[in-house]
Amino acid sequence: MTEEQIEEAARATETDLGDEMVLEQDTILEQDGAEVGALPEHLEFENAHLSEGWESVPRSYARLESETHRTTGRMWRAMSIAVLILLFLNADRLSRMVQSLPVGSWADTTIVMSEAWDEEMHKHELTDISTTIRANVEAFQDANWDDVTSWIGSVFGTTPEPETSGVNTDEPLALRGSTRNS
Amino acid sequence: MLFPTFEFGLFFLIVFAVSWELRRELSLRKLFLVAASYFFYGWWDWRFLALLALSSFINFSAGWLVGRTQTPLSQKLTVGVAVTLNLCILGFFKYYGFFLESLDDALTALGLARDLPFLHVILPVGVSFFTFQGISYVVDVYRGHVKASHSILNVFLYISFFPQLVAGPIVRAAHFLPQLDETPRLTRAMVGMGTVLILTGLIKKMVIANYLATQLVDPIFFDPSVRGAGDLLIGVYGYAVQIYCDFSGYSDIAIGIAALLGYRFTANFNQPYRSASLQDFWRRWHISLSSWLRDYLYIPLGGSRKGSFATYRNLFLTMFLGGLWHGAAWTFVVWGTLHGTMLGIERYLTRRLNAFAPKDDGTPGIIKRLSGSTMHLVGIIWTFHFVCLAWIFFRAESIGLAWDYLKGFGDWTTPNELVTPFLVALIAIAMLFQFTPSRLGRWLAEGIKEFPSPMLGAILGLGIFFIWAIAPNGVAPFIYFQF
Repeated sequence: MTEEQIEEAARATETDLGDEMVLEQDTILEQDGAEVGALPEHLEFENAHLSEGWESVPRSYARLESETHRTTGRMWRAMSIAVLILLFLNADRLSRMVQSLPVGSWADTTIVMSEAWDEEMHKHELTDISTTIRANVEAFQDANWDDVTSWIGSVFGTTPEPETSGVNTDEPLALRGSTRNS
Repeated sequence: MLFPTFEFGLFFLIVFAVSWELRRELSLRKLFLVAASYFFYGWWDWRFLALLALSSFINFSAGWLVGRTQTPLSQKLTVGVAVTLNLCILGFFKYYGFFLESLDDALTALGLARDLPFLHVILPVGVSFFTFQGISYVVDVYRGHVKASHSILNVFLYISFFPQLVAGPIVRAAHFLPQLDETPRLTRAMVGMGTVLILTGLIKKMVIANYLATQLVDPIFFDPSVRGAGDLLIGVYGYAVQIYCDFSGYSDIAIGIAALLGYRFTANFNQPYRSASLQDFWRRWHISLSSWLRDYLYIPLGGSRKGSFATYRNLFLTMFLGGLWHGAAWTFVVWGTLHGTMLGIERYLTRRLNAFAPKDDGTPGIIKRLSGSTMHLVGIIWTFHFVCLAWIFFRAESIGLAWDYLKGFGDWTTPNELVTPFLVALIAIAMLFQFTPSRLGRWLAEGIKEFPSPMLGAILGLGIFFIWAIAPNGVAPFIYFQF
């Protein structure tokens, strides 16, 4: 059910219930787009009584309820997408994290499944992004001040002679660090 | 269960889904959240669940009694008993060992050594936080700031609500309990703010705090006597940034999670290292604790209403006890004493200077404005370095190690091993964010709240992915868990 339809139903009943009141059924907000046409027929206004299952609520309540319903759904969808992204891009981290689960058959199954998933993602090279990022971070961790000076020099065109610094500034910082490590 | 873990991610997805499904059944929702919070707490050590329940029950009963009794004397008596019981719980679990060890040392020094009843008492996670929340509830009921709750579920949820249970922020009953009687709402603004806070909290904790802890602070504080002055200097700067990112990161995540569940917490940090005075620092650092100490300790002691001497004494006592609250060790006592003493000195000097140069109403000229800015800058630098000095005692394992650390600043000949570009960059970036506009987070949240769900999901997913990719392996416990 849309906002406009709730508003329409509210306007239809304002005469009997006062300006601040709208009608709402417990299930209305659960039925986005469904059963909307049936709404006015379910109302009886004899002696200001409402048919069973209907209750009067303030208009602001209906608006907030409607917003909460939509925002909860939106957040739920967003979190599902986030989980999918993490499953695809961060499979190696996931397989490491599940190792810490308490011992049990459920944990064993989870670990086996996550390892199989990680292998699959490796095959499709989806884990390469995180590997590249980590390599760059590790290279930065290993870099010394000479490396940084050379890198700044190469960026701003004031590179000191490679012989004196002992660093090949044509290489990216990440590669330099990883070469030194190896 | 730590926030940045797989277990917590799964736990939160379930709690989010079920709690919003139950939003129209308030009692059921609260019952579910209490159960979830006890599950969260029991994940560490299920044996302490009874302690949490006992603390909640004591405070609920005391609040109920205060609400029912009419005579001020019996109300005072009830509050006194409740506060004493709360402090007994805290005292036993947190200070029993410290007290006996100190007594044993003193008796040995006097040649009166005795066999004392030492016990190996395990410190329950978050006991200081939930005890303070319990006291806050009973005192607020007594002061009339909040009505005594007739729902035991409300009090149980207030004390055990999992986002703030183990490391704060210390939520006030007057602020939180009324929210429990309203139908919970989730607005776009709350989602925007929650997302920004969770992501910034994760960056602070998982990237900045964890790298600084493992690569800089822990090695230096392990044995400061073998380090040069340069290493020691960057070590204490690193610890200042680490503890800020660790604790404010936790607070950000807690506030963000509460927002996604429909509850509002107040901010716990506000760029503390941009403070130009120690008084300003305490308005920006661990706001929920400093305001708690102000309202439930400093003001009941008399605050600044009973003359100069009493004011300085109250300031000192508040900070001294605040230091002791952080941990049962002499290093924390020194930390609190340093802050209490310097707050007093600062207050005295400010008053004397104001007496020499009273404020005028005229528009300041360029010289005056320049000197104002210079003084402000000097104030920021001085305050930051004084806070760093105090952090040395806060972090050191013993007074001896802290003293070694201070002595090391005289040695500028030992080569520096830890002043690396990576660590300097981490500290510099974190400090830079102390001086950005304070509404930066709100602006980001304003932008995010309008995004459609696929884009919001992409921000969340890619944000967490990127943080995980650059963060070191493993998750270190939050520093404030030990308090």
